[in-house]
Amino acid sequence: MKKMKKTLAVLLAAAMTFGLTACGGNQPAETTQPDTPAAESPATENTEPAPAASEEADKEGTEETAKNPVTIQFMHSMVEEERQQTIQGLIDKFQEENTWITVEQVPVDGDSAYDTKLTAFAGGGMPAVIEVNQNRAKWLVGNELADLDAIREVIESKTGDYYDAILKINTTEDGQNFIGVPVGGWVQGIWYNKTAFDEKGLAAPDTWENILAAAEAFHDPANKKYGIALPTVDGSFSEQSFSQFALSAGANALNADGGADFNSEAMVEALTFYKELYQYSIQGSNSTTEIKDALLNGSVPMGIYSTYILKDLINEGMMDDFGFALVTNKTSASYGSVGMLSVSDGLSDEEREAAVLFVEFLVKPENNVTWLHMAPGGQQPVMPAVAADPAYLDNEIIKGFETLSPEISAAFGSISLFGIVDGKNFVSMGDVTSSNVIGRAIYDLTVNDKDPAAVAEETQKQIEDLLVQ
Amino acid sequence: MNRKKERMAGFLFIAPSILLIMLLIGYPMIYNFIISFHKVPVNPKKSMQSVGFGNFTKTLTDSSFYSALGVTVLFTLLVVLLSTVAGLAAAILLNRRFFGKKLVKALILLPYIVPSVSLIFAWKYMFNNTYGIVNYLVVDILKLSERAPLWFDRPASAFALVMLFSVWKFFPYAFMSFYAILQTIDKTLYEAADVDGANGWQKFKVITLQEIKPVLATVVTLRTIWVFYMYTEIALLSGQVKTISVYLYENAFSMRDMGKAAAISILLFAMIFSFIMLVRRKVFRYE
Repeated sequence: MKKMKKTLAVLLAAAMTFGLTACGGNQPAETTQPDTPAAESPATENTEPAPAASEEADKEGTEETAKNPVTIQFMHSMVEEERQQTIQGLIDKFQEENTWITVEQVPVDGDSAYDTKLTAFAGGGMPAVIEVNQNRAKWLVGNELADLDAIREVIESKTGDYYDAILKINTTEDGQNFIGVPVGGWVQGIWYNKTAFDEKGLAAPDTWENILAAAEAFHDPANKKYGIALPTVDGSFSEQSFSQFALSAGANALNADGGADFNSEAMVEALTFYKELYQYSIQGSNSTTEIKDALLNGSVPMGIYSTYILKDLINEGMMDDFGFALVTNKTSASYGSVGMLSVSDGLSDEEREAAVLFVEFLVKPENNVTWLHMAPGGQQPVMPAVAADPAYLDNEIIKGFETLSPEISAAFGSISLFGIVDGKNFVSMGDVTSSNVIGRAIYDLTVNDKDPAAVAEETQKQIEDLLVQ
Repeated sequence: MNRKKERMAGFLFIAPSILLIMLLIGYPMIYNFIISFHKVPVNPKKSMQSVGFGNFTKTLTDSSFYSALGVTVLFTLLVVLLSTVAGLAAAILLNRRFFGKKLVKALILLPYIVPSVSLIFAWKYMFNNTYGIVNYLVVDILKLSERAPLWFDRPASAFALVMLFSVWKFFPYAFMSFYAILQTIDKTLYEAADVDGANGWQKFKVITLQEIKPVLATVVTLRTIWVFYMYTEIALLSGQVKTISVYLYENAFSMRDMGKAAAISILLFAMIFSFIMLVRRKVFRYE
């Protein structure tokens, strides 16, 4: 009996240790990379249920009564309550039109948490519809977790409706399919204080020379003024920022065959320039919080950030002072992230049909406007028709940056990404980005003061290893 | 007969808990053990490939594993030691009547009850390179440095700050446990020691320490397990403190190598389980 008690005690202790291990593991880190934009107060207008369904819809509704009820899940990153309410409004409207379908929201917070959840779901039971950025979309496609036919079905019904640059990002490696259904997007570039630049008689920070000259001219660390706010965090934000410099110099992380190409001459040149620029930046690990704070509190006259800063600039009454420039060397390059909807592979016929209908519904112009108004300014339209839609433009924040619209549109046209080479969109780049080797390389290059050539070689080796796996 | 019945009743009472533990913890444990010998594809429709001890070999030949383990052992040792000592000291100091005791207790408990994320952001603002109060004091007021030190970017200072944060955030747990047990100690024991002429240290060693030993064992055991696997606080405060949980997370979710991550967790489980058993047998023999 004593032995049995002892065995039981040891077993329970083992289980407790393992259980506590799980507790101690805690939740994954929540980062504030712009891939999953930070909380912003979304507009709640346009959340009213749609007017009465059309006659055609009524007819369809009658046919639907014969269909078996089906429930699908929709995983997205809009965790803020107001945004969830807006999405629920869209879901209610969709369910009114498709009475046999029930859509459940699965909001997941934070960049890393989203990846964790996605990996866990991939192990069994993916939500039918998932909101992803292009990197995650590539990852889903690379692991055969996305239903490419379903995605193509939705896109083809809308071909011609999207900006060309968006479709360029959106195609698969073979050019035959699409990695997701674009629903919104944001671009990243250099935000600069035009008034401060004018006072110093400096040209807009577009070319490498102009950026460096301005950074040098403004840098005054003794008075806590710095030349530029440069992303250097050990994370994806640094990769996004650096990619603009590399791509504008003609360097890419992958070559035309999909192999690693991080140690090219052009890449070393871009790394050297980024390091030179860092001398005039706020020192240390700079992520979205540090960059935005520095731009808004006037510590820097320019910084790299996405369109998510627009709302803050308007709220602070600084919009008229600020301009937006694209990094230019041999060519212009801006980083852009396209929010997409992916349909999971392996759904039952009913679930698949419901998922396709739901995605089609979300990208209808009137519903897309509601979606974009959740983060006005941050999420930009990916369809020209939506961009010109009076319903979309009827928003205080959007009206506030009307003057910058041409620059932002130009940025969409100049989106260049690591992993898109000669028109081929390599899905393996999704793995490279999620491994964070490039983000870490930029951190090492700047904060840890490593040699550009050594960083290039080291990163090349890491990407090669990743691609082999 | 009665004893036998009592025993049976006892087992029946704990049976639902055991069943639940076996179901919720036993199954994942076994599954984790199985996948540690496989290359696990993300797509469940693809089958797992057996790699034998490949994941274990890969882990044990990776120098990053050992450096992460070293950092974790040092971090755990220091955090458990300092938070236990701080908690015990605070409990002893507060185990008497004085004006404002409730306020002091509330202040001690504050970091424990405030969500970690809020505290982490407050700390990051305090140490911010351009407008942090700490750098304002160090650079502008005390003139100790010309430039703001990169607190969370240099491994040594990042380690020290994350450790300090963890001690500050979690010592109230030790405080609460010790404070509760201290109140149960019979005061006459101390009076008798006074009569015998014992000094403060002798009274602590012979009376207090002996009486709190069961709680001390529990606090050290639980804290060791929690701190060893701590992730959120470390990862959010600084990416430069590469503990084993960060290493495990990167393998599981950045590299998406679930097989290796499972192998790492098995190795860690074996280590921490042996350590806890050893400590409880050798150090805390109070039964």
